[in-house]
Amino acid sequence: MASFHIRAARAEDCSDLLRLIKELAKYEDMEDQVILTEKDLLEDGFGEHPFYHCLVAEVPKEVWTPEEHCVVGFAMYYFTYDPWIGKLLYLEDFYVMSDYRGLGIGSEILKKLSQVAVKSRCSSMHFLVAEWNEPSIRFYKRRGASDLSTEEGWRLFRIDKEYLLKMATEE
Amino acid sequence: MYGIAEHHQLRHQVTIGAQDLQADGFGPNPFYHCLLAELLPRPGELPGPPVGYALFFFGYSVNHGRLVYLENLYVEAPYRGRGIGKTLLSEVAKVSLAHGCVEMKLMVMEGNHRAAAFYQGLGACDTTADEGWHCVELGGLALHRLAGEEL
Repeated sequence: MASFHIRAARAEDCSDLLRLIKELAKYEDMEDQVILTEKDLLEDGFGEHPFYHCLVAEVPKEVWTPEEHCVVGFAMYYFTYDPWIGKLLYLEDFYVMSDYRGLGIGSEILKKLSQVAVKSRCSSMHFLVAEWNEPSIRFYKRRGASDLSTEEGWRLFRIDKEYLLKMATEE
Repeated sequence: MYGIAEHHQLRHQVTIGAQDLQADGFGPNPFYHCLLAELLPRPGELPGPPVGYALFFFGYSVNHGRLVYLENLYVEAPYRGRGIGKTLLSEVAKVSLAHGCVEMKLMVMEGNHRAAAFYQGLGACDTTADEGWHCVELGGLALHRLAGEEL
């Protein structure tokens, strides 16, 4: 019997998703940056126009968390577009609870994501990794990933809402 | 699209054609949106081809929510320096805010100082330099291998 099961997230998973998002933010030392609520996740992922898709990892009852949660990992992704090569799958976030690592959940999630990417005719998966996150960098490089920032000089820029407002309202 | 590829001397990397762009951008489930910059024609003249464009799509930040990703911003060389790029970006900002987006993300290649200065002048920060974020890609054979396909 498999010790875990990966499936597409459902609307009722939003509270588990938020719980895991907050745990991951804590791991990355960015806990105070999570402003999303369960309501946002519900509207944005399961409304008329989904902004993201999610896979979740469930474990059987005998190994549920002490708080009786059965969802122990997730991956959030969406589709992006490179006008030179077409569709890409963008992996926004990917997390497995620390007590459930080493069981192959991460690898299985990544495999399922790759299958989604191939089935949707995406030419590759893109994602961000913090340069200090050595375990993640090793995990992805072992599977054939390339660091476009180091190898090709890609730099990710961000424009926050206050500047978007300024741009939108200036003559 | 070919213009921007040539600008970066990467024309050989463009593998999709007009049909793909049409199916992917104008079907029931668009993968991207595009704004075009057109010069107003003189009286009696027909409008010419677009002189610039902005290609973007919507995404999601797990901490902050809805975002817009600016994939390409390009103005043909003879028309630069007139504020067309800034206007295109301003229009993308308006669309983003109307859709409830809280941030915009985009890539600038190392060495493209003009682009970096343009975006930083508008309030952008380089999260690769400042926060250590690296863009990683899993594609081609590696992707198919991961999907468990026999190769």
